[in-house]
Amino acid sequence: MTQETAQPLIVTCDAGGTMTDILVVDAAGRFSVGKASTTPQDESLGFWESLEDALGGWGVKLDGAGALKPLEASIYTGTTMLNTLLQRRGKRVGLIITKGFEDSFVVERGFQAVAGYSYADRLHTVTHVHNSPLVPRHLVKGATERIDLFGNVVIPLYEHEVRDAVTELIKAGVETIAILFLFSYINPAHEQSAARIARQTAKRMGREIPVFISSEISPTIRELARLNSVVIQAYAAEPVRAQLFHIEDRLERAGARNPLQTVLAYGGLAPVRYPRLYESVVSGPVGGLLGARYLGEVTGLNNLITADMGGTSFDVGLVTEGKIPLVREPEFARFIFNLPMVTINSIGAGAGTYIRLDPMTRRIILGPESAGAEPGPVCYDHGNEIPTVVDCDLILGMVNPDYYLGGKIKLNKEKALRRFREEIADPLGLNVYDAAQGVVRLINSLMRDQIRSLVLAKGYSTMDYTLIAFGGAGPMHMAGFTEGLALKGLATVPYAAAFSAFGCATVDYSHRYQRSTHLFVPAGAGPDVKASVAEGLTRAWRELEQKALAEMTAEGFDRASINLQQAAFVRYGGQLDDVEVFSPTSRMNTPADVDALIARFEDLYSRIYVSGARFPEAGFQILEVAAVATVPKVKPLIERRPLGAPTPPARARKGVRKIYRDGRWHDAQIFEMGELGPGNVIDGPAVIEASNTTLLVPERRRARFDEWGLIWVE
Amino acid sequence: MAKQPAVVSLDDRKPLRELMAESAARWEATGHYQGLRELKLKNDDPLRYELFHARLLSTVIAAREVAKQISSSVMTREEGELSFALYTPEGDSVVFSTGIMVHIGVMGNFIKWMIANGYEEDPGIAEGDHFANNDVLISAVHVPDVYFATPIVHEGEIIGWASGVTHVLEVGSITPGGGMTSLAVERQLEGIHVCAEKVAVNDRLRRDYELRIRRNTRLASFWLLDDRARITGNVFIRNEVKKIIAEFGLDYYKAAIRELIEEGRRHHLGRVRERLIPGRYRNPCFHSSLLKERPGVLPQANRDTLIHYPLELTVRPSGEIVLDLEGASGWGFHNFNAPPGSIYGGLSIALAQTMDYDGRANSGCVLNVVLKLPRGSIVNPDYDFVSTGFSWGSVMAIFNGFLKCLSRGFHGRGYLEEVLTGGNITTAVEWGGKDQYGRQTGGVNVEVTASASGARGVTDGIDAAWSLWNPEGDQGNAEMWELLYPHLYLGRRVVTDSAGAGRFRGGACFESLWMIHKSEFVFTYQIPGVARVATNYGIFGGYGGGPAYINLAKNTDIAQRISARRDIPHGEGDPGRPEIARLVKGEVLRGEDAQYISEPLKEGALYEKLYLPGGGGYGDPLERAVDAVERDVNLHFVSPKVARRLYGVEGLETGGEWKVDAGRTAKLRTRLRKSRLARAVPVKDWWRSERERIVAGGIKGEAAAMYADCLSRSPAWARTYREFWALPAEFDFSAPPPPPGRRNRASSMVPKR
Repeated sequence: MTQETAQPLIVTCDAGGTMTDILVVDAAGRFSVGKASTTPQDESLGFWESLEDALGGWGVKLDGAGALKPLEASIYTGTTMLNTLLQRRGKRVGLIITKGFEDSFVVERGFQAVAGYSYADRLHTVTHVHNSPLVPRHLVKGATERIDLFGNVVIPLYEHEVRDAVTELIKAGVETIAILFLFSYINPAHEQSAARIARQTAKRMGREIPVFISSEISPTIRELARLNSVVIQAYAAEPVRAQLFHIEDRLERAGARNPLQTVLAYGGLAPVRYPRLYESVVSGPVGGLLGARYLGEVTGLNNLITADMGGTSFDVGLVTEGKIPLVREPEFARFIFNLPMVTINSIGAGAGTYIRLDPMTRRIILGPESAGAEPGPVCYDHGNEIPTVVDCDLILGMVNPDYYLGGKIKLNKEKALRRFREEIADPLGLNVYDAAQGVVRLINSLMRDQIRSLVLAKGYSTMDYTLIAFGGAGPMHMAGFTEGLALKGLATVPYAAAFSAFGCATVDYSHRYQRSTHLFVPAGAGPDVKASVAEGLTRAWRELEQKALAEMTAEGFDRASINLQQAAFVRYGGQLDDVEVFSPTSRMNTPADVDALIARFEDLYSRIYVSGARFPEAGFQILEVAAVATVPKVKPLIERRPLGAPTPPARARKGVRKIYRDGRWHDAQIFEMGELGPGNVIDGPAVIEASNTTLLVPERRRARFDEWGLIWVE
Repeated sequence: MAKQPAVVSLDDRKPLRELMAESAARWEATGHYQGLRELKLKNDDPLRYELFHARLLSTVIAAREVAKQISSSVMTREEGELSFALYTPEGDSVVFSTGIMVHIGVMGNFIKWMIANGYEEDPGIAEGDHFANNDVLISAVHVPDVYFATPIVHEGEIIGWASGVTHVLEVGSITPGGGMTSLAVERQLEGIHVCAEKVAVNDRLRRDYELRIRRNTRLASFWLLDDRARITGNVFIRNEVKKIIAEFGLDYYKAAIRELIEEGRRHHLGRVRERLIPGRYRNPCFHSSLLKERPGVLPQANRDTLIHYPLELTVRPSGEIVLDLEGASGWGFHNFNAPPGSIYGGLSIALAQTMDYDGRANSGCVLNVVLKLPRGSIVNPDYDFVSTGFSWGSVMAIFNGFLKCLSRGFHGRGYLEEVLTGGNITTAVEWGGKDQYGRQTGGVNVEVTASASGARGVTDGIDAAWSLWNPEGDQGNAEMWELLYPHLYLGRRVVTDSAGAGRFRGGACFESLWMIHKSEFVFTYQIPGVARVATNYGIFGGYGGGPAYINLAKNTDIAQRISARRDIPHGEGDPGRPEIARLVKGEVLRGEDAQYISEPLKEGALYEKLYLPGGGGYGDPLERAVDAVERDVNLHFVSPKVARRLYGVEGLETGGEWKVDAGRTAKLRTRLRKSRLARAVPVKDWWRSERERIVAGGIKGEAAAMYADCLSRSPAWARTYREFWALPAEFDFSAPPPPPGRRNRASSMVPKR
């Protein structure tokens, strides 16, 4: 890549717990990747260092004020908000809640006392523990009021109690106030009045206090999840916003013209001024899914499984017919939300996952914790003595000890071997290589189960899906964790290690709007009932769309460029869960339109569950609808390049190394990934090395570099 | 009728009944499950074996998640009151999901019962069939927990069973709800019994069965959607197991599922030897049934009863455990009767939570546990029409005692962190009448699944998030409950002072206060957790929590108070001056008086359920860290009064926060210790005075009746009792005779296994 042509058009950032990855994309779709340590106290430092690293690859210097003039979009994802939450270092929040519910953070939900636990710990009662409350009990005040499930006021808001509560909270030194009342998602009047009173009271006391109400932050049923959402917005999202403004400032000073964006849990993109910023709490893993979807759109693959294997976790997601399924009530950081979130199944299985033997049962226990970047695996020789998965990869010859992170870290294979033998192989009575291979198979199998259960739980078959593997350790383990899975195809990309950051560069500007409804189509309903349901749906969608258009035009988008999609959440009468059904038509004009929506629901339902689980006799309920507003954004180009000869160039060859597989040693050809191009085919056993990842091509399989830059393992 | 079995099993394709008999014979002969002296697959390739287990386990867990989403029941969907498991062809459990795991062994016995009773010939067992059961005399725990089992057939051979359970909200009993009502004093009043019936063919419910449910429950969608959830989960397991067989091979599958059970057995024995000191552990447990002169009670049940479960646990050096209830009270015309199946269930769940959590928690874990349940007693009734609606009451009482026995063992071996001081007897509310949508319906609110555990050996008990039958107890959202029932929440608060005091306190419970809303009339029926005795005692000097109770206010002026913006109740507050009596005018009933209602409640009535029994404490409360007491007072877990009286901690409220006064606390603690010494008497003196009380007829009423019953039922227990108190051999209590009808042992002709 030459200096003249490479100008940064998109900058994306994935600030992980350890490293901050930056990907810069130019108008030709070429990328450069930068890496730096994450700096949680002021994220802009790590961001900047990583950006300098990435631009350095193109010879662009950041010292001049105009360096970022060409920039069209800058997108941030990261774990700061999550860490603020985990480390309980957020704002001092005061909470006003329906009187009688002041203990909501103390008793929370029983489920949160085991959230994130392993099977064994979920059974093992003495390990259960509640979250420590985000708002201390003395900063929680009740206000008498009640609205019922139909939205009727049963007990009017006792305004004097709100005034007293606000006064006390401000005296107690709160920095911000959150408000939650029951059923506010149906009727927000009480929350709105309370917010008004809070602002007035604060003003009278000479203070300006930000006030957040649950009906604005998360207008959906289930008060505990809504409470988590509104408080986390006040507690963790607002402080992060301040840091993001800091990054935005620096970008502006370097010439950037557009506001900094962040990725939302459902895959949307919003400026860092977005009012419901807490929706970006899980932005990082979303990137990979978005990247895969985009890759699929460009290359014509519309059913994809994403498998992201990093150092600490393994995240699996799905793209079905070009769409990413959402979960309605995800659990994150031991809190339950009712935020639509892309479906990602995560387990603590990564290259750094610890391997231990249970002293009594001698069962192998994998993780769930991992060694992180410091002290890292045994082979880093930085003080960790507990073997990890990457130590096994090294023992088996898969990893080049002199080319780890491009040679930045020299690996101590001797020590990895010794510790693995002492801790695992000898106690099991196995030879060290067989034991290492067994561990790798076991972790691969755990990951395979994650993939399988995600696909099956949605009622699909893996045979219709192409799996895209990424993350630093993805290419090494992809052949293993897909073994025995009947897939349509299996591929990775040369930039696998920074694929999440790449994914963020591919996303469109998009917001999602949801609201509750009370629509019911009884079994055998006549056209009149259906007509009124049709009208109700259309009205609800119209309302959401107006909100969407107002918000997005305020963000500076041209109204004509905004694309809208409508969805309804349908269930059988009385059920407590529903299925998101995208409407075949943007408006419901006739009873037949309702029938079409219901037919689509029943078809989806039968595929997710079994057809014997259908229950049309109970009628169909729609308690929630959604509208998704999207504006296209400039994206990295995935270029189609002409195919060359299958034989790899001689300069790509790095020699031969012994690797251990299936109980014996094989001579593997070693290649440099950067020297391979479209059309090249590498027969296994082979190892293709890059500075930040390693691709294993097992015997009897081959790696084929296609015209889109995908590497297929066949 | 059919001479040839429809389907055969194992390599030599024997009928299931023969397989079951062979398995029992091998166990008898060798002391190993299926005679497996060696874990060959595990030893040959431990990793492949581990892999196989991981595949099975993730299958049953995923099945539970999928099934959850179909239900219309808050209990199933929000509280997770469901479980799924995989069984061997002969009905032994191999792996099970989380949830109400209490049923795992019990569902296996249901499968065994069908095999033993010739179901292979008639009605026949084929792929796609689902068999349902909630009949306790066959094998179940109580009517609302409905089981569905389906065979897994591979090339014409039954190679296992998938089975699932959910707790159904409305079962068509004498009063609306889940059949746990106190008024169901005989089996016939409990609701619909499905007695090991083939209810679905080709994975689809039979129309005649659906019709029966529709016509006999008050809101059939609760039951019928849960049926669909169970079918979905079972089919999921069946399909996955077939894939696992394709991957590992049929022979491997057959051998490995059995090795896993033998391994579960060995793991359990190893754990017992590791963590318990051999010997005898005793923990008498009690409960009470309060029916005397209650509205709606049938004549034969018109009495209050104290129930005795004299639990004795023997741990043998081999690791074998004997759980003996010799001397237990006789069965009665109340719904606490707990047939062996339910005791077996309590045992599995208690072991899974304390010792077998990280092994292979399956049938193997209970193979070396011997249950001694005297025939004719409450834990093994010899009358086939007993009511078992609240067998839970007995199961929880017994297994809270069981946990205490284990905890003493853990403590003795130094496993302090494993100590779990039992929990409490939870309770719930059933209701019926008109709902907010104008329908006649019924249901049960079991939000107290999120109950409290006892204290742990290194920290406090779990607050509002645990129950014995479901370690992941959850209360669900108030907004979800309000979708189902016409109960408007005025509050859901921690119950102050509910946690048993101790160096580590028990968990605290919460309460709910409802206002009847948008309904012309509502009946509420208390599930009989309200008791006159506590079961949630502490351990090693810790205090117990109190029993549950109810407050009720009718014909109140709450509407006027609201329009005048005056204070209204949101919780009980100070029990001496409860808000429900202080902040509204009306007819207030409390405790036992509020347990049964004599007329329907109307809009605006207040119903306050104090799920009060927090967990028992651990250790002397005077040894509790003062800052922990300070935190508890600020969180309203402990009142300043109790902080002073039980914990010896003095403090003052300043600026909204309560602060400990260290100097006064030290003095108070010294004074309390001295006053304890002043009150203390030697055990011998205490024994003498108690004995005098017994001899002089100081034990009266229900207590005397209970002991008289136990003495008459068990000579062995009578001997122990009389020896302990040095009473003459002819000593007896003067007490009224046992309930009429107890001796009439009619037969329901339930075929036995």
